[in-house]
Amino acid sequence: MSKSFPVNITVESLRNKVIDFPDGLPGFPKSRQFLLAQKPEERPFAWMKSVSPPSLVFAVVDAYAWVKDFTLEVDDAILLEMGSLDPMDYAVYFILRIEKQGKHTTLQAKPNAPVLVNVRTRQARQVIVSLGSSLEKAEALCLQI
Amino acid sequence: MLVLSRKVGESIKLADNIEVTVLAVDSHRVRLGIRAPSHIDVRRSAPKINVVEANREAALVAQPALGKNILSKAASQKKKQR
Repeated sequence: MSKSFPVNITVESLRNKVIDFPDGLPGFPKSRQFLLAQKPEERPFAWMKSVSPPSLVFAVVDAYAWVKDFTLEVDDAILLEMGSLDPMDYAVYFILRIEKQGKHTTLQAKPNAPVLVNVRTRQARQVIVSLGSSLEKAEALCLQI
Repeated sequence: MLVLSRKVGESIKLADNIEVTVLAVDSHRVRLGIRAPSHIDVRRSAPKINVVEANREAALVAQPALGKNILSKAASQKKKQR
C-alpha cells in the first residue's frame, strides 16, 4: 500500500526548527541534524543547514511550490517508520543544485528524490520515488536568475 | 557475481521464497516481476547512487560565495513567472 501526497504542508511550518535524519542524508551519513532557515522573503525556498559540521548547507524548495499539481506516492512501510501514515503530517521539499554560470545562477531540483519531514516528530528522510507525469515535467524545471 | 540467462516468462529463485521473473525485454530495458514475502525490502539500487551524487553536487560546502540573498532573488523571480 502507498499513500499519495496531494497536501500542502510547507517548509514554513518547520522554519528555524531542527530536523533529524535518523539514517543520515544520502552522501552525508554523519550529518543527521539540520536546521531549516527561511526568511519570509525567501519563501518557498529555504536553507537546510547542517548542525555538525556547520559548513554543510543545502538550498531547498517546497515541492508544491516548485511543481504545479505536485503529487507523490510513498510506501506505507516508509511512512510507518517515520511515525505517521497521515500525509497531512509531512512537509515535502527538494534539494536544489545551485550553479553559477557567468552572470546567471541556475537552481535545479532532483525531483525523484524529495525529502519528507514529519512535522510533528521532525523526523526526516530522503525518499526515492518513481517519476510520475508531474515529476517528469519537473526534471527539466529549473530557475535561472 | 553469478550470471544467468533467462527468456521472457522464465524466472529465477532466490532462497525458498523469492522469485524474480523476466516479464518483458526491449533493446535497453528489462521488466522484472518480483514475488517475495512482504518483509523483504525490494529497492531499485541505481537511483540511490544518483541521489548520493546529486546531494554531493548540491552541497554548498565548497561555494559559500554564492551570496546570502540568492534565495530571496530566486523567490522574487519565481513570483514573476506566475
